[in-house]
Amino acid sequence: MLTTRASLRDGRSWVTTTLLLCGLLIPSLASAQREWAVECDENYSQCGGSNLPNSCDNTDGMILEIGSSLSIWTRGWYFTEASAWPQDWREADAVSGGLDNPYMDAIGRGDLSVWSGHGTGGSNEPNGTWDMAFGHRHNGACYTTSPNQMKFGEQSSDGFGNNGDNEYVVMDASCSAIEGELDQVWENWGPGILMRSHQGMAFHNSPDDSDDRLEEFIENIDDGDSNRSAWLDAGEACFLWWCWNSPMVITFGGNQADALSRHYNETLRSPRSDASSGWGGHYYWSFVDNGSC
Amino acid sequence: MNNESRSLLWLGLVGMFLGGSACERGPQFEYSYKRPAALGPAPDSIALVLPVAATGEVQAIGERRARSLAQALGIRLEPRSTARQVDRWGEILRIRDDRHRLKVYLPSGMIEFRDTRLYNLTLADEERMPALTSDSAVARARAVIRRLQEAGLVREDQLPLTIAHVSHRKEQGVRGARQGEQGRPQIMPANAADTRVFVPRVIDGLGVSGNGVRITFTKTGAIAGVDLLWRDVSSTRQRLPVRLSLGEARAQFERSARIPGDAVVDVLADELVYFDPSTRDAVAFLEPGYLFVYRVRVPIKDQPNRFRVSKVLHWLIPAVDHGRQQLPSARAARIAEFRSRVDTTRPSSVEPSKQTEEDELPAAVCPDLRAPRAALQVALNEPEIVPGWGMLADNAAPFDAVRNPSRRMLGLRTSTAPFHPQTNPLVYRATCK
Repeated sequence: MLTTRASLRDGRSWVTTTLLLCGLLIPSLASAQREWAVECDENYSQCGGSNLPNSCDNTDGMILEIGSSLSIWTRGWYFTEASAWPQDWREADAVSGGLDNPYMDAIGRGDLSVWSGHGTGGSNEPNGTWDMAFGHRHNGACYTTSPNQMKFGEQSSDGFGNNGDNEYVVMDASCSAIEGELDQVWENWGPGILMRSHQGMAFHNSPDDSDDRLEEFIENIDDGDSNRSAWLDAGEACFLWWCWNSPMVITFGGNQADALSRHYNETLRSPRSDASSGWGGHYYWSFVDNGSC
Repeated sequence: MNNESRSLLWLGLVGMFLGGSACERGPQFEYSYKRPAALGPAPDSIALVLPVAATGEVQAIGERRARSLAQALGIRLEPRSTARQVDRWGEILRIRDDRHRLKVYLPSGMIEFRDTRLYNLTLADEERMPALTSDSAVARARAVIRRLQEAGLVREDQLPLTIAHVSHRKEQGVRGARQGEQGRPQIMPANAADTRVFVPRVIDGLGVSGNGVRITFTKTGAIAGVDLLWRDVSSTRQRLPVRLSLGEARAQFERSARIPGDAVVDVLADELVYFDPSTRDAVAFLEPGYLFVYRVRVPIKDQPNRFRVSKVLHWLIPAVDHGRQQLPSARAARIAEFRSRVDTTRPSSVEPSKQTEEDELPAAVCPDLRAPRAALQVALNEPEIVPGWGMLADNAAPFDAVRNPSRRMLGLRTSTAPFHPQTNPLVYRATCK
């Protein structure tokens, strides 16, 4: 057994001390400019699937809000519809035709990478895999699959080119973070999506096709929330009848205390400059349990 | 052609027709929703629901409601630290002190309250406690709603607790794998860390989509957050006849919703509601209609039991004829204008930067460092003159942000001894310990 609830509790006072310590350090660790890279798709007539009328309104609202409230974040990329390619998310050093180096995991472009569109799910979830599902086919591809095709934020001796830069990933899509497969789809057993990325924001079920969830997320951050709290808050609300979302946040750290500190304190207002775990490390997750996929 | 041949040809044509029909089978609709008994039978006539005309300036009204909410919750905003701010569009009012936050969507009048020391947090002394049970949380929600009613903010008779939805924030942590490590971690179930009660709003037996009150309770029952998703509305005296049945609405939905032919449609709700389009917009009325809330799963070719899964979509079929026009959304217009000018084309070639943010880490001061202020300032302003700056923890090994980071923490050569400019000077270290 790698960790137990008891071992987490035993470390509580030390963790609390470390949190306080990290709280003191975070402002001075904060670095300067960051860039966002965003993709969305609404029209699914080419690859199949139901259209998503608000998928890009969602990202439009987020970008507008970032522009008005988070000044350290600037444009990396914004690709919509046929300009959003599955290859942009694929690890260039592991997958033939992968383009994540210049796009969604690009140094100087993809510190925050956001997808708003379809995801995939199975009738036997958790099944250890998840795909971003695009509306427009590019070079015959409609999907990018985790864990096999996605590696984000890899640096130093991680492998996969050691040339990633991503810090935060948002997957505003169905079934993108199912609790029973986090270690396969998001963590680095295998390894999964995130190498030295700090956090993933996603969904344990199918969220509503909201046009303002990502805008609300940024507003919450601007109001002083941590990324974790901002995502849970913005993600939970479904403004329909009899509809509840299950937002999920997963955070990585070099060790237990580091992961916990990052989980509770990381914020896009002032991103941590030190990378998280790479291989090894520790991760925490929080979600609002309104059902799974 | 003899009779036998004719019969065989006829059977063949019928077979082809039936087979073809099977291949072109439309989407499969799976209806799982049951109308809650608390709503009573669906009405055959409906009053229109209109916003109560505001008397006064919209910001002042919003602020008054927000302060009423705080008062009803027993929150006293600290006057010295209280700030009030309206966003650049004039659509969101924020009132906050050091601990509490009220966010008012001015066009709709909806309000979010957050106790920032409790919301989405777990206090250390509550770590080992269980979260509130559903029954306990709903009982507490009843008391809160009563206070909100006394403050004139909601109507208790429009918030049926029997159909309250209860959920929990859950959390857990686990160690990850080391490079080359085999097997899988044993992951403990996530722990419930709070209890959330959402009570939907019901007017005259019709649910109001999106409207209601959400209350988040800590493990001890303290109120960490309240979402007052509530418009000030009144019903017209005149009732309008419902022009189609649920069955007719279903048929219209299935015909019109443009769902791929091979899809499975999970209809999560099909209900006659007052439809509220948004938290953020002003409305002229709430549209009475059959609301279909659904998710579409499209099978992935050559991958059995795997689907493209949509987000949860909705489809509204108006249920009465009223001839009114909804108000345009200022936000939607803003988004459309942005869409018309934003550049989403791909570049012909790309040369990304070579430097990550981790490469440009600034200096930081160890939290327990005691040294003369002037010496600290010099060391931070000119780090290159201080021993250790620019080096790795182990300069013989390659950089690794976790195992072999840069020396950028300003501390003392011997951290347990006092500062001395010659014998124990300032140095840059990889860690403060």
